Amino acid sequence: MGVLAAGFVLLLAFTGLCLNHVSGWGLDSKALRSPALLGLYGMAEVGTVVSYPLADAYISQSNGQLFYQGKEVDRCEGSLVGVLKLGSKTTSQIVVACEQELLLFSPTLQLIEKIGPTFGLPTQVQRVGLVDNELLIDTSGGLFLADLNALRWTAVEGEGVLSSRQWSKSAQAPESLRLALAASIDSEDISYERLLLDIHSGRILGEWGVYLVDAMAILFMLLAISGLVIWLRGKRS
Amino acid sequence: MSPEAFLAESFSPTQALIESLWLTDDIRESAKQILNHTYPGLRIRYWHASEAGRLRTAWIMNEVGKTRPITIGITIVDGHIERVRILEFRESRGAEVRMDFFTRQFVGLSLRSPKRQLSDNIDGITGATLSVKAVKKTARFALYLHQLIATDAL
Repeated sequence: MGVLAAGFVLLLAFTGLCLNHVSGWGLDSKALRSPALLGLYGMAEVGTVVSYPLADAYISQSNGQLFYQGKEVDRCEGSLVGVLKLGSKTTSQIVVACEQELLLFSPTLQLIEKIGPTFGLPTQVQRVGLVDNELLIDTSGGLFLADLNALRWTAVEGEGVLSSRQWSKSAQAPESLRLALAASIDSEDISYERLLLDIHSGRILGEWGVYLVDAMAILFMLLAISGLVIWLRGKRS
Repeated sequence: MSPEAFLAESFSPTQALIESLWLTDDIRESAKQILNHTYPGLRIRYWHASEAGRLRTAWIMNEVGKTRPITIGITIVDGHIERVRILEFRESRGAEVRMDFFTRQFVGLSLRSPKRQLSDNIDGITGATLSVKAVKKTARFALYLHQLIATDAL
């Protein structure tokens, strides 16, 4: 009994110590990567990868993170629904459209700004297209021509623009890229802090784990009390 | 609080104009000093109105506290903060920064040179250190940008 209790005391003290320093040691920002550990959270499955072509490369989204080829670029609100190059003769910009947000990039993929509902963006964006080099967004509230510089959203009727519009279409990225992105894990989901907390509380083993830690806590109290009683008795005699 | 409600209370009854500010290398360098990281973006939108020669600007910015962005709305009149509102808080801890007792400390503050600090101390909140930092940095950044616009407009 004592050995079992000692083991638990060490485990709890160690995880407790780590928890006190999660920020300092960076444990709160480090995501779990090991499939065995993620399996405990039922998250061992790989996510789906959505890709849209951009010139001869791909912009993809996997677990909420956006990628240009294999490189992380940014995050956006909602699922990726389209990628377009907006061009005038002198400058061009890249629009990465997600359901709740449009991300505007320079040709070198430097983020210019994120345009969300705060700036009047009609949501949910379902797809994006080009009409005479103007951005057309198809939302759950209808079709809008978008001027991203002036932040103007002009509702349009479906019929007139149908002929010339080109919607951004998703495409299958090369196998190697898809696999690499699918394995990327949402860095916000499960951190080492969460793992430590769940070990500390027993939650890692489910409901019974919590009861086990409860039982151990009661055992520690009994041990402490019985220890005190024995010590006092010894002192008296 | 929604961005629309924030803008309405900031500018009512006048109508605000939306404007964009391109971040030059100089501005980006200063932004880095204030925020401790590069500002993610090359352009910032803001709302402004002029009343009796006083420039009023409003800023809605996202700043990460610990892991998730906090959406912060700041109104500035003539280089002094008029109001700070937390429009959206997504972190798991530190939501106390939304409370009035915290945000009202910013009212009336301006920027103090040379290090672009706030002109008075802000009392922190135990357990919300990073969120408090994020709001303070954003307030300094907005004040700095307001200064740029005010000097430009002269």
